[in-house]
Amino acid sequence: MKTKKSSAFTGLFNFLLVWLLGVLALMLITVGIQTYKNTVDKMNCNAQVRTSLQYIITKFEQSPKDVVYLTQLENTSAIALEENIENQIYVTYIYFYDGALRELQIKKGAQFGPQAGEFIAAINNFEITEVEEGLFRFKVTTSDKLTHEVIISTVF
Amino acid sequence: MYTNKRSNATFILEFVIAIFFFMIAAAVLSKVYANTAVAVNTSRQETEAYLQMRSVASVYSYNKGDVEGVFSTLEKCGYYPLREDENIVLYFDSAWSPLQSEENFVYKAVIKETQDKENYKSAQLAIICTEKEIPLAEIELAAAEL
Repeated sequence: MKTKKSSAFTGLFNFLLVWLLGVLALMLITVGIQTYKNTVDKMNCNAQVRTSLQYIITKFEQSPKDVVYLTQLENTSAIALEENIENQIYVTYIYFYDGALRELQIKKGAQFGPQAGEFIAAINNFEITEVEEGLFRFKVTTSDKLTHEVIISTVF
Repeated sequence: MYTNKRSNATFILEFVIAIFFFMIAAAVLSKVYANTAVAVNTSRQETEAYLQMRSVASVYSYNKGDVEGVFSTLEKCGYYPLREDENIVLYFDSAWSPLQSEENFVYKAVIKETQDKENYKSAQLAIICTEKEIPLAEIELAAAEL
């Protein structure tokens, strides 16, 4: 009788050990998956912010700042940077279209087609405001619905 | 019977050893996970700090270093600048939204006017996080008086 009881206890103990190892392994895997997912999501959003806003900052720093203005093109707010290339005026538009920040460089006066723009970064929303003359505020909403902004001046 | 008992004991011992190694691995991995989360958060903080620094620097150069002008432009830009001693201070919450007072702030930007140089005005800008001892970002701003 005693041996039977002891054997049942040992069996239960073995079962509990296996169960414990299984639960711990599952927990570790779950935490790992969650951490990896969070890390990837946050890194993607960080990359969206860095790519989009840094691109605009660099563009402003590189371009001649005499002709920079906010414009409305086919219901899209765009920042326009004019440049004189071999006596031809070219305009670079940076705008939000179809879930992405895009850039299009065309001759001044040429037909603007938002779908023709070069893809810069996938973002959720993009807003441009001219706070004061020559001082622009750019707001980018990333896929985690957080808004990030930067103020750029045409005066450096 | 004797053999059964021995094999049972060996099985339990093997399992305890397995769980022990598993615990060590779990402890190491948990630390790795925690470090990853911290690294990602630091990277995000630095990105935001850079953007705020860039914004303040733009406002500073836009006003050619005039502190009153900087103060009023920051207000127009949606910030709530405060005067603390000779400095202009901006307070932010954990999501980098501007705060009207220092209550519950997590980050702050301090613009400290420094001695004017011969041809330009200058100031020190520091972005500080309450959780960190050293500033997230620190630069010297300079604007020429044209």
